[in-house]
Amino acid sequence: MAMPDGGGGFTAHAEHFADAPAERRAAQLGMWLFLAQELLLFGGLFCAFTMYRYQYADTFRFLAKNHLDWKLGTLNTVVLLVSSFTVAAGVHFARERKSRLTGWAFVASIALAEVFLAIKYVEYSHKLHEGLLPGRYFTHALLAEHPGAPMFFVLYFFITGLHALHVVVGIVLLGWISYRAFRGEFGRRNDTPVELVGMYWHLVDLIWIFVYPTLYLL
Amino acid sequence: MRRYAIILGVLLLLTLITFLSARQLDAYVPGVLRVPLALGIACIKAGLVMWFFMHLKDHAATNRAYVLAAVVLLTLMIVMVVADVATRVPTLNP
Repeated sequence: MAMPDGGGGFTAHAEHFADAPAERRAAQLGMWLFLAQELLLFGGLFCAFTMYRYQYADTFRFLAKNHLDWKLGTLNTVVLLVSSFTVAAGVHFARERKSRLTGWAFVASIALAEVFLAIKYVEYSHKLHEGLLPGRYFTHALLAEHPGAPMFFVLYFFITGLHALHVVVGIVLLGWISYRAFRGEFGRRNDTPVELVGMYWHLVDLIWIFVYPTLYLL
Repeated sequence: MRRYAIILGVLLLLTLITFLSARQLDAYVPGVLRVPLALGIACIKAGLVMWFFMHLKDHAATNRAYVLAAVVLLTLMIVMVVADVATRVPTLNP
């Protein structure tokens, strides 16, 4: 498991790299750079949330407790954590050249991601009926008078919406990799794409790890 | 594989602790500790995901530096904004 170059054992590599491990390290570095800026992208939203949470502490606490469903939030946390495990398993199989198992592990992850989105849909449609959408679509009679209440739901929709968008992109990427895995590609070739897509999916999970307590519990 | 299963178990356990401390057993947690506790556990979970699932432990040290830089910048941004909002005169708040 603990290989200093993060796996490998391949000798084929692009001309401008000294060897295959160097190419692999460069790919990992690029992915981390991308993921680091993704953290900063979500960080802006979390920063806004922190600021308004500080200003309207009582309102935010009340809304989190009474207008967000902790059951669905917790269920989605568990679903994403398990999907992260199946992705980690898929990356593991790809390292062991078990390409088809990687495919199945990623198909399981896609199924879990769709469960996540289905639960999200239930939550969103409930908010829609209550009239808790951003801007002039915020029509909830009681809460509209409450300063800070519309802001809570603006942040709720932007944070979970941007996250859900990442889940959709993740499903496409996982599908692409599982298609290649079922063709047996990672049994004989570089498994770097599996690892990079896996890292992306773990980031989606990682962001939800912070969304869950900040929005649903605190 | 065994290691990943153990990590998943720990992550689920930490989720349970977060939930219980914030909802079911919140009467036993002092008010000032609730936010730091929930976010502290979230940071531990994020660390486990990055270190084991994302293989940061096997990757080059430069990759860890990138993650560290992002975390430091993020912390700085949030701390500074909160410090600003917290020290404003009430009439200046929008």
